[in-house]
Amino acid sequence: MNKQRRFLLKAIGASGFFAAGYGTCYLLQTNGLSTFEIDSWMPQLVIAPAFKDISDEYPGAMKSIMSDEKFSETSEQEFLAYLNQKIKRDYKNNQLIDVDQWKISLTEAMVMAAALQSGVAMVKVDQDQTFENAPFEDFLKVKTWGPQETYQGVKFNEQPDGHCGMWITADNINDGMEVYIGGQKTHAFINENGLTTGIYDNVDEFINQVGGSEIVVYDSINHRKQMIGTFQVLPPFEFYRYKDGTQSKVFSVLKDWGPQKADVGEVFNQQQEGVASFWIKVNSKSTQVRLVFNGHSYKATVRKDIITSSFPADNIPKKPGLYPVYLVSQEYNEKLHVGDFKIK
Amino acid sequence: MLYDLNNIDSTEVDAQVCIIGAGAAGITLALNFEKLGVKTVLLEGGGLNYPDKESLDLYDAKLADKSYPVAASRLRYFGGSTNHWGGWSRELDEFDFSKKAYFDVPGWPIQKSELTGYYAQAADICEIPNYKKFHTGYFSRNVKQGLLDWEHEGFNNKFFIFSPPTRFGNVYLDAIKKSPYVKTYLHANARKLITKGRQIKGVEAVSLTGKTLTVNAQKTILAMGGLENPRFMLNNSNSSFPQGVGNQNDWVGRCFMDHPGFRPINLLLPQKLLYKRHQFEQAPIMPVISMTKNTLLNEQLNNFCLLLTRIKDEANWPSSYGDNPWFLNKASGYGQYRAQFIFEPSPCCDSRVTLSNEKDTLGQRKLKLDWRFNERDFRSLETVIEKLITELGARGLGRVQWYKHFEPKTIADIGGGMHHAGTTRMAASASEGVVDKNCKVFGCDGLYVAGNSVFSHVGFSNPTLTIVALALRLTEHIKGALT
Repeated sequence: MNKQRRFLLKAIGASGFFAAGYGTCYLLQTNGLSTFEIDSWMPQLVIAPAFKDISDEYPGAMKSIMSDEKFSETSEQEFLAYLNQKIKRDYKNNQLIDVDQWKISLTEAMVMAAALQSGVAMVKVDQDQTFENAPFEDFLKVKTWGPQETYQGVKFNEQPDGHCGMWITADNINDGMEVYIGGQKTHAFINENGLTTGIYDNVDEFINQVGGSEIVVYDSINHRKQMIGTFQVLPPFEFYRYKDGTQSKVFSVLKDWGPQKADVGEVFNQQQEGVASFWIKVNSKSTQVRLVFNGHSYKATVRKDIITSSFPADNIPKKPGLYPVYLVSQEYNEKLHVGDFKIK
Repeated sequence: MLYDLNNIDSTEVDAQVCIIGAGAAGITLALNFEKLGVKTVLLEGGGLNYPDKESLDLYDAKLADKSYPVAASRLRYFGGSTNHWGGWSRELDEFDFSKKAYFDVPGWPIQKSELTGYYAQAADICEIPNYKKFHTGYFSRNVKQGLLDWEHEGFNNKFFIFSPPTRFGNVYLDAIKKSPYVKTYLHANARKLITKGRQIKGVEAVSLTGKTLTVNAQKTILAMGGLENPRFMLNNSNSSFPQGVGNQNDWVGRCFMDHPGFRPINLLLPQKLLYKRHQFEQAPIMPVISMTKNTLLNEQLNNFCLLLTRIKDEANWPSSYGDNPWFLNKASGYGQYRAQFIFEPSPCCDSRVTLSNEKDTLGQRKLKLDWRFNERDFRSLETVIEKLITELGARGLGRVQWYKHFEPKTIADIGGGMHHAGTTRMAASASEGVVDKNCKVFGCDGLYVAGNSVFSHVGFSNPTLTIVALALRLTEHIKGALT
């Protein structure tokens, strides 16, 4: 046993609160503890306190620890500096032991053992940290999130695998973020701008339950959570009734649409890519809707309360007249006459 | 000009150059030949969209002991594997081109400096906005926040930069369509090289509907990726090339490498580290932990990088343990991180692509993949971990939990980055590899290889940027070699 190690052992032993710990230190040095003993020890080792904490808990102890050879001449600062150097030397000299597979300096382990035996380190393990018992804090800077609502029975932001996608744009995202919707944990994917998440399981059940579901982000690393907002499933919209009296199973009552007229040769409601486009204020239960105009069928984009569709300018009728506009749902086998577009 | 072999009559065309495979390398080659006015044919086995089952079956393979996602790691359509590329980019390190006598197989016969100008052009092609800052070491000098401050030698911080990612099949389709000098044929599966003695005179291709295309070319370039290139060469055996073209020294298919990922350790380090993809001066970067060239060479190590992900504290070792006085950064608090190594495999001759006896619908023997590692690769990583334990502990920076070691089970579970490399390796002589420093196949005339398969050593960098740089270099060489 070299002088430095003797110093530490003597110092710890001389503290008076560590009589039973001497042997334990030795066991730790030689890594001689059985797995069982380590397992029973380590859960209590929530924090190995600084020596200052020991000193506070046991007045005079620190003085005793540091008084091995110089008695009351060594300051706490000097002792900690010594300890630091000793631990660093341990790493350089590979004087390490393996505790719970953590590679710990021998000196460090002895200090932990001393603290543990002194009782100061017997801090109780915190209760299990879960989403439910995490405190609410505002730790995210949420810029925006969505979608925020849908109508009963209407899938929102439907993705190819069938889930309804949601996004949260926020700063301060870390790798431990989890998302809970209506108290249920769901999938969350972290990206540079925030999170993508959504309803993955029991989608039909979710969209058919009118009411609000709180969206909460849980930071599992720092054990805290933040309310993002409430997603609303709105009551069902009023379905369209066709002229023959049957009620649509997919489209709502038509509220408005446009443009409704244009001059010959005019590219109406022209978009950036040079295409023409229609907008129709209507709700649809299905996102698989097409717009039919002048003998052509076009893909339509279904959003809440509006459907849009664009098409090449070449397909605009070139003669004056009335040209019917339809929305078609193959899924529900329905064709809704939106109105007649007038070319002057 | 773009043709679909399924929609035209069987035909024969003449070209100065024929490129087989329209991925990052093939499209780069074609567009550069267009600029140089070289009459070129580009063959793509797939179409413009994700292939159907019949086409995918051509990639069917047998595996030896170690599993590998052979099908999932390749995309048989225009744009190749750039269609699922994540955009991760960085040059190979100078270390990767350095002589490493401690590896069993020699490395690159060229220096990194030979690629410098090409890397800059490649970065433009890959639409990387901050390449110049990477290349000039700007990040190493200026990105400090959230990174560990290492000593001058030993561990250091390195950086990934990012392509959007560029889907070559989308971004460059119009340019390919409008190319007067480049004829591109979709659904044209290269089946057989046209040979005259030891000269390669072009290639015969066939569609799955039975249409044939004969391309007569002065130079033929294989750019089908690290699995198909060797498979095609091994399948092309005849009296002049009894073991397969370019395989007179039994190198074709050997030294298959991919970038292995392994998570053996957790770390206790200052919290709020920024070893993750984030914006720096309006463009994304990703810092990683690695080592200096001198330390890697002096300690005879493989290159590697370490990726950190913040994780929830382990119950017995909370982050507050870092509050103890022997930690350097206790003021800012500590946290636990999961650490993933991406490490360089040294070339292993027994890690190889061979042919199985089963044939695909085009009559080509299917490939068999036997992915292996040299034992030294594991010892190298263990040495790195030991040094990390020492470095973090001796400097009061943190602690290491080493919970997984290299054992048969953990080695079997090692996955790769889907970067198929090394199977037609570049070498100084035919006794050490398949292609020379100009990517020309040893032992025959008129045949070249582009792509990841020519990599002699692979470092830890994702390969696309280097593949494109090498392709640019190859076009200039071939332009000079055309008669």
